[in-house]
Amino acid sequence: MTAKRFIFLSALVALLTGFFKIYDDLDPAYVSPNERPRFFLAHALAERRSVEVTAEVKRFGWSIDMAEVNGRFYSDKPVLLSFMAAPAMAAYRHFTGGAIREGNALWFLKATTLVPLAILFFWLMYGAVFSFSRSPELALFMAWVTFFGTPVSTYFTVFFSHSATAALLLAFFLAIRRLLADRSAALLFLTGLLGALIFLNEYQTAVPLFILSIYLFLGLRQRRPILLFIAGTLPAAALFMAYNLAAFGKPIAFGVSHESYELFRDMHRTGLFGITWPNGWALRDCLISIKMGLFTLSPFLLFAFVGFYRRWREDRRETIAVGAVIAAYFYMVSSLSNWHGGWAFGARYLVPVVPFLALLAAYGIDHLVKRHRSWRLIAMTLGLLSCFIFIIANGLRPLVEEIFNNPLSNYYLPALREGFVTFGSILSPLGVAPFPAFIVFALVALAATGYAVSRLAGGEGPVKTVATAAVAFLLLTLLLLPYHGNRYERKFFYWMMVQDRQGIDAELKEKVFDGRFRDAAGIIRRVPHAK
Amino acid sequence: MRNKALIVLLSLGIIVICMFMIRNCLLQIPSQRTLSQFLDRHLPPLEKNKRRIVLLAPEEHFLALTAGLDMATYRLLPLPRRFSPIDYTVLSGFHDIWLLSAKKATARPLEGSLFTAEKKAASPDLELARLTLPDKLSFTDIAGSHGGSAYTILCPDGGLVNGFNLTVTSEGVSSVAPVCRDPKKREKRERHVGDAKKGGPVTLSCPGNAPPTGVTLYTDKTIRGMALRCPTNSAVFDAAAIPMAGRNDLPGTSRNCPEGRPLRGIYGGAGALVDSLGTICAR
Repeated sequence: MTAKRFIFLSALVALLTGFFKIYDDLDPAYVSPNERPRFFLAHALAERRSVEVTAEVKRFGWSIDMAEVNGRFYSDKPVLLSFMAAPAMAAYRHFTGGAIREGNALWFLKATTLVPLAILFFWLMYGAVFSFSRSPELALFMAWVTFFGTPVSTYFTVFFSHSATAALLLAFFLAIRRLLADRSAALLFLTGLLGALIFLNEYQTAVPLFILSIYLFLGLRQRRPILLFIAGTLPAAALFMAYNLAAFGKPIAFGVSHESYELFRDMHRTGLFGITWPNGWALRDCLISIKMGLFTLSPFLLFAFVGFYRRWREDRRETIAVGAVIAAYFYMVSSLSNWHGGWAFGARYLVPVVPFLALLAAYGIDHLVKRHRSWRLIAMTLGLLSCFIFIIANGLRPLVEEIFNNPLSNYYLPALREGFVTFGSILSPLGVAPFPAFIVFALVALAATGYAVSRLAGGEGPVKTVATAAVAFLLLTLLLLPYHGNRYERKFFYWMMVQDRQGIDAELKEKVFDGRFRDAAGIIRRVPHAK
Repeated sequence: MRNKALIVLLSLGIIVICMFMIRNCLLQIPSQRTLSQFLDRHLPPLEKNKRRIVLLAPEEHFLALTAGLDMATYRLLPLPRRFSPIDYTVLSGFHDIWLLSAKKATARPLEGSLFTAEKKAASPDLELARLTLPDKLSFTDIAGSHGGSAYTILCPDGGLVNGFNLTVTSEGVSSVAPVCRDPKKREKRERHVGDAKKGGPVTLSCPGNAPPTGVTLYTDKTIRGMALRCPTNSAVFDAAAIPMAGRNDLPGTSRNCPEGRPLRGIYGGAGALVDSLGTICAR
């Protein structure tokens, strides 16, 4: 990998991650409740060095995702992302003189906080695959499709913690691998610190962190180095306790236990922070549904089964650890009452385990392509299909309402037809409207995907890429068929299209959407004479 | 080399077929611009102080078309897929009623209603018709629920309702048919709406064969019982002998025609039972 190519690919990842200003002032009807508490905490830290966000709630507006203690508001989210973003927020405030527009500020925070993690994720994946395959082509292919062919890219475009967790958890796993091969005191300390930071970014990671730590301890054999690992966790533990003391009055507390919104509060009181018994329908949706199924939206991950088989024979202990991490996450997510994640495309709660599945898939592909070359074409096809899906989703709207059983068919397709893109982009300052900007985004992303995939093809790359792209497009067309034209989903799409409009027309469309013919006719009777 | 060209051609063929399928099978939607141009061209200017409504059918065909249009300014309103009973009370409040329908649609909106449609314009996809209601009619609101299939019965030739033939079960009124009398005092039995095969027949008429001026309906989800309102100046009127059928132990709702406007017909929705009923009065 030359330095030029490294810079070029890093810039491409950064460009495509930060291309759209998702949730901005062009779309005032929507704010992402999930982004707000993180944004508010970063703002409070930068402005007043405070963890209380009551002032932000008053200034920018309430969000259903918010913790409340004695009438004071706090972020209900794990705090790492907000702490990471606080310096950028301070810089932004300095440049704008404190005149903050929420959409712009969020975009800046994503560009400065999440984009570096996106680049890190890409190269960690590249390195992990290259380390065993010694194939730059397979490494590039896997890094690209794991990024742009899974919800990992989607949740780097919004100020959520999932993809950051995925990147850090992958780094943690690779660090453990390194430690088991070559123990180093500094790395042990840093790995402990990293593990604790991951917990501060997403509390559910306690389970995979525990599993991977046990895997590390069993591999180390000596007990003394474990103290170094534990010492590494202490700074983050101190931060966690200091934050909780300041916000909730006790050192060990979680924001979700103090939810301001009653429904969420009740939800998190069920079981262990909402985790109960797995629900078969939820599991099915997480695996094979069109709205969030990991294997339907990112079908190249199916190779993980072959990879698991291979790794089981090569390194059983690591395979058990990785398998346990994946199984634990599936268990947790499928037992949540809001396993769908609300407005979301793809299984957002499962994003942290995507790199583990993708790594196994890489082992699987590497295993199969050495046996028959047709597997290479299958891998290319499934990789392309995955990228097609997420390029569309990331560009048009990464977070769609959970009502959509098939957002591809009933949201994204009509959105393409209507040219309905509501987000500003990096091209907006040049006067480029959102839909043409989406076309630019899609063309750049498709060209880069084509490049990454054609490299895997080896000889006759362009021909094989065109052929596999055609098959991938055919499969994508077939994915449009289930639930196609579902009346309620389509209605909802068109309702979303008019949501940002005001006045009598929006009122009329609202009544039409609700099926209130008489009320709608009453509005028409009131329309002043104009036409 | 030849094989490569063949593969590329085949691949491009697959992509074109998929795009064709998406365009023609999954996105069977003409453009919004076509609709606005069609309306601008064919809808006459709206007269001052006149109320207009443009009904769109079928509803789902127009979802995409109307999303970006100013529906209020064009006065567009999709007809619900199930428009039962037909809301005459609301529609009769408009002076200028239009129906814009998709040619591909198989269901005929407002079929069997009192509206007569006069085709005014057509495009390859759309058809525009002006709807008119018979003159000198007024409508009372329905009593009952929005179930069943829509029905409308108007006594022909300017005739008046002179009574009703009903079938009544223990559940309620299973069918109803007005008995009409034309200006020459000839009686004509209209068709039954609902299920006339169920229950026992009952005939309701006013004392002295006077034409009723309205009905009282005993309803919950369907019409459970029905009583006639007879002219109070009838020489033989006796309050204790109000003609009624079915149950009267539920709240009663009167659907009476205003003074001097005789009952000319009924409308509503009916299936296995009569779900709803409203009256059509002379104006």
